Amino acid sequence: MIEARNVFKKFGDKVILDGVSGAFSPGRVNLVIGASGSGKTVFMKCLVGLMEADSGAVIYDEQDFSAMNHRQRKPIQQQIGMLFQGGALFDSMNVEKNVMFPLVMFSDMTPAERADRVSFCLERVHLENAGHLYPSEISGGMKKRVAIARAIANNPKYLFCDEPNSGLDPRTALVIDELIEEITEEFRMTTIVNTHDMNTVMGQGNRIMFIHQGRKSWEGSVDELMRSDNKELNDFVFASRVMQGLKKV
Amino acid sequence: MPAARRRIPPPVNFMNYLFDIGRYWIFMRGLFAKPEKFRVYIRQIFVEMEAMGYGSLGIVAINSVFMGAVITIQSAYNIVNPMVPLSAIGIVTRDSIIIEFSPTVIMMVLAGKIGSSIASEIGTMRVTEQIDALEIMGINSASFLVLPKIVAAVFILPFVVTISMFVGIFGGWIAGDLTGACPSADYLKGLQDSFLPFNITFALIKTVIFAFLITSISSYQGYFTKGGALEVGQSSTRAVVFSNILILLFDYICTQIFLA
Ligand SMILES: Nc1ncnc2c1ncn2[C@@H]1O[C@H](COP(=O)(O)OP(=O)(O)O)[C@@H](O)[C@H]1O
Ligand SMILES: [Mg+2]
Repeated sequence: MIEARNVFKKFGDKVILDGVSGAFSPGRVNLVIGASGSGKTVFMKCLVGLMEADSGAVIYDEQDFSAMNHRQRKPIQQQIGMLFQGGALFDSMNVEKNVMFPLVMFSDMTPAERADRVSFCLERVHLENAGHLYPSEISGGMKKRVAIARAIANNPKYLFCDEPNSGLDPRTALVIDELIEEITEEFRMTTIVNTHDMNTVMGQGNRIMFIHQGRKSWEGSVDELMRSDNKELNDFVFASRVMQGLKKV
Repeated sequence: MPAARRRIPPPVNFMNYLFDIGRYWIFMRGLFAKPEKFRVYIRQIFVEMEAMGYGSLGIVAINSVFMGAVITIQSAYNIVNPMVPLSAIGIVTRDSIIIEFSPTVIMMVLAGKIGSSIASEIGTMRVTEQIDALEIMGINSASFLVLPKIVAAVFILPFVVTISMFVGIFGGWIAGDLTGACPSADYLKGLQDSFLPFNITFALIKTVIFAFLITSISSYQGYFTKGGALEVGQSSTRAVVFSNILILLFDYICTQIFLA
């Protein structure tokens, strides 16, 4: 379980996160939703330690991550997999080397074991034949899948996904969403997904946290979301025509 | 469509320089952490050495040959006094190439080639979150990306500069002989006259310092890039500009210390 307690962050004079708290439980996909610029990425970066919160605490399974120094954090960080918005694949390495990279850096596997693990991960994301391609040679959806394979290479306990299906067509987006959900259940990971995609919310929103202008404005499940009378939430959710139609029926 | 107005920063902003110097200093101190996997670093150093050394030979050879040729012909042109033997051209060419042209001018050329490539490589990694991806794995990204480049450059560029010296002196020889500005025999005699081995040492010391400056400054510029593709280009330009300025500054300091 990952817990955020009163996370506060500002850049200059601009308050980006205004005391966000929440708990994210293992074995399922926890969604963080909100409009662009509401602070989802900053929140996620504070959770994983890429940014330091100004105040508040981040707790990983009872361990106070935010109070640790770099060295103390390493064992936890090595259990974190993260899927970045643009994929963030290493341009200089082909797909196979990308997925192998965390294994080379952090495991004591023999080359044969590494190769096995890489082909397992690539198969898991249905990319068994793409190992030799470079990031510049593959499509956006494939990049995301490679990034998932790399994120799970080291068997992480925690998986963070920042807008995993932004910039993808609806069909590919659905594939990515389902993949993340399956992997989360299969390996009982604590998964946190940032999204503003209502398809994702409707598909896998059993636990949703809504961020509005740096504050947690609402949390609950999809069913509750459809019935909620939170104005900010309704403005966000029912901005799309499809969702307006859904509300009427 | 009207041209968009580009925001052009003022050419000299003293506070920015102070800020950069401080941040550069902290950046450099952070590099010397214990490597995660020593073997990976070593392999990376060899990859970088090949790119910087072998990959620079072409541009260095072409520049050196013409540099040597120009120095020879200009020296011949300048020596009008019949009392000065033609072999002096050999001496002048040899010493200017060894002391100044190969270590300083060639390193400035390499600042353009290596510096811009380092800054844009690391800058692109920054803006596409590849550096975040390294950090999230618990890797010291600065050290992982930058240290192998610095070590490789400091080790391999003295060889490149040494090659440049030979090629430059050779270029002078050919040019002098072909144009008749300095006959072969005089040039070769001049090359062997009053040779100071310390000049080579001095040149290589400078090369090592410049290699460190180019790689560390360019890495710094790339590492702290913010924004997108446009900013990566700007970082790359700044990397080359600052490398060149600091090469000249340290050239002066070294000359003052070792030769004055
Ligand atoms: N490094 C930064 N420096 C200053 N402001 C930032 C930085 N990163 C994000 N912000 C600001 O924080 C706000 C929230 O950004 P972000 O978390 O990326 O939103 P989103 O919910 O779309 O992911 C934005 O207004 C953005 O301009
Ligand atoms: Mg975002």
